[in-house]
Amino acid sequence: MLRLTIKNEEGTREFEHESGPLEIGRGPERNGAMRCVVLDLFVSKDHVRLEEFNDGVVNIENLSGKARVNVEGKEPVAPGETKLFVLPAAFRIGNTRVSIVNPSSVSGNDELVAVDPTFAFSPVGDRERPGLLSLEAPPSAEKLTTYFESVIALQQIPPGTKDYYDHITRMLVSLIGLDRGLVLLREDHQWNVVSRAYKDDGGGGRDFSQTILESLLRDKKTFFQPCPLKSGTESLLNVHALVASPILDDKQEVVGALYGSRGFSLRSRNLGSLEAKMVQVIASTVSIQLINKRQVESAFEMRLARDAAAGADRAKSQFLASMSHELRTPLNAIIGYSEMLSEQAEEDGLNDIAPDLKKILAAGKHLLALINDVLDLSKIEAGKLTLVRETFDLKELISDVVGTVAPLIEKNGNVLDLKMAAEVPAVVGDSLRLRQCMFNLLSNASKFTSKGTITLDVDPIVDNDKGWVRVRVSDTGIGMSPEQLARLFQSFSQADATIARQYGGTGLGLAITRKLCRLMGGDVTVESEHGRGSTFTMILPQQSEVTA
Amino acid sequence: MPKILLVEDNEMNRDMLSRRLERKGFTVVIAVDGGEGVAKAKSEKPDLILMDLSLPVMDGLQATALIKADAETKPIPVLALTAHAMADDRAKALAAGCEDYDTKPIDLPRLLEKIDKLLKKS
Repeated sequence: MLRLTIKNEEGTREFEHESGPLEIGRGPERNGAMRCVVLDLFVSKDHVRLEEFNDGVVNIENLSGKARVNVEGKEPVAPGETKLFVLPAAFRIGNTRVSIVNPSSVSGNDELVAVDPTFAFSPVGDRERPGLLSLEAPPSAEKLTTYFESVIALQQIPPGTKDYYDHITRMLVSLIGLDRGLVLLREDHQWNVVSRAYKDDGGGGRDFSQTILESLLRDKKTFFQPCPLKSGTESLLNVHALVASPILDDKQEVVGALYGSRGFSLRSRNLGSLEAKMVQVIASTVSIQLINKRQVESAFEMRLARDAAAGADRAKSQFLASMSHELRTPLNAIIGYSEMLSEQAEEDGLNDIAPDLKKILAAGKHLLALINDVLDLSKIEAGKLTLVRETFDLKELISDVVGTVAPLIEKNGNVLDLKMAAEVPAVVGDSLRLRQCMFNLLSNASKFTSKGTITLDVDPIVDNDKGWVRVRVSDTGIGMSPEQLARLFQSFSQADATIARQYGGTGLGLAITRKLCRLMGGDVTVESEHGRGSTFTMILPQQSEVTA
Repeated sequence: MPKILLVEDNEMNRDMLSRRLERKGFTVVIAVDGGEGVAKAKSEKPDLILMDLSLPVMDGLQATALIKADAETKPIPVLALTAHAMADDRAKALAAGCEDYDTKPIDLPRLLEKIDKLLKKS
């Protein structure tokens, strides 16, 4: 083992070298060799290789092609030359003096620190601007154990709390050995310090540099400066060593940073890359924990929102159900009594009030139809309308509907032409809803046609190997323009606002019909020409699918 | 004049229907729940019963079943009335022994036609 002391204008560094060749100077890193860079060697381009042999014999190889290496009391080593010396020996390369001590010959309390080449010599400076020889004692096994325990302990603290961030800054100072430890969070494009810890007086200087933080935002990786740079940027001049590691969210965006530094003083130690890695590991842990926290929170918020929506849905259904009852009860009285009174008025020949009573009755019936339609529509839209699946005789249903709609058809002096295929198969579906759809189409046709013909065509068809029932309702009525057709199946949009006044109706019938048809696995379409009449075609599966 | 027993819990509906039927020349007796309906069917011996299906205490289906189980009241035709336009209500009413069925709100001409038909039969 070699113990070396290297001294020049920049300061003094001591280190031990366990075994293998050691290079001091500038030049490409070589496999299996340690390399130290001594600042002022750069100028002279001297480059020395040391190798220890048995019995304290040291081989000094001058790799430089220009300058000589002066060995104290001995002859100089010329460029390209190799010489063996017996320890102790000291030599100079430019203004740098290197002393070599054989530790086996040193007695007393000199503490020897084991040196691991993987981190003892951090890459210092760069090719153009070599730094001082970087020497760091590696963390001891005990220190590493404490570190790991502390990282594990961090994971027990609720992330994002003051305790959590304080634990981190304490780790930076007391475990990593930084003078200053900070946690910053980025909110609204601002860096806010959420926790800070100092060793002693914090070593002076600024807590953090905006320039470094901006570089984190840009690079999204740990910034590490192990030792002072001879000509650093302004932000680096007042610190000896610095490490800043970003906290990233799930989209790899920088949401915060851990920031630790050592103040500039002669006593300051350089920062090892392992120590920087230790900070980076804490930052990754924080990133992961904050992401987890946010995911748990957003899942919780989603559940709350879903519960609230379900609650609102239930409240809406409940409201509709009670409104249905509350509105219908008084309405039934209005309809019932006005009907009764208008019957009596007609029978008793009270011609002055009979038409008024009939108007009350008509308005009441219209309001009831509107309430029923709105309830139907909201049930369909809320997915609350369940279809019944039953087998029924289509012919019977049609003659039933025709019977119901007959007074409406006759009212405007229309005639109904019923064309039904001789063989109509039994249908599996919801007869009540099919009846409702057919009634809507037939009552519309009779409403908008006068002294004309309404044709009801019913025939089974086969399409895609599936049986369908086609119901066509044609009229010779007023028909619709293309603009009117476009809005036809929308809720509350009769083809024209004036239509409602002239012809009555809620404006919901066709919207409900279309929604019901689609719910039943079919559809309803329309063809119409202004002034010529309209044809509504309803196609429904002969056997409805099983509805959940 | 034919006597009709109207079993209906809603006061307004009861008032309207009984007055309209009375104007058509019927004698109308009323009951406000299923139990009273069964009792009046026995005591009043009506020619026909109009039975609301959703009644308090004892519903219309149960009352009809009791009326039809008693030999004395069994021949009286029962016409069920319900607010629910559900297909299976019709089946339930017929299963309980009702002779016919009509839905509310009342369409008087249609109801009168059904009443006439049942009275002619019995």
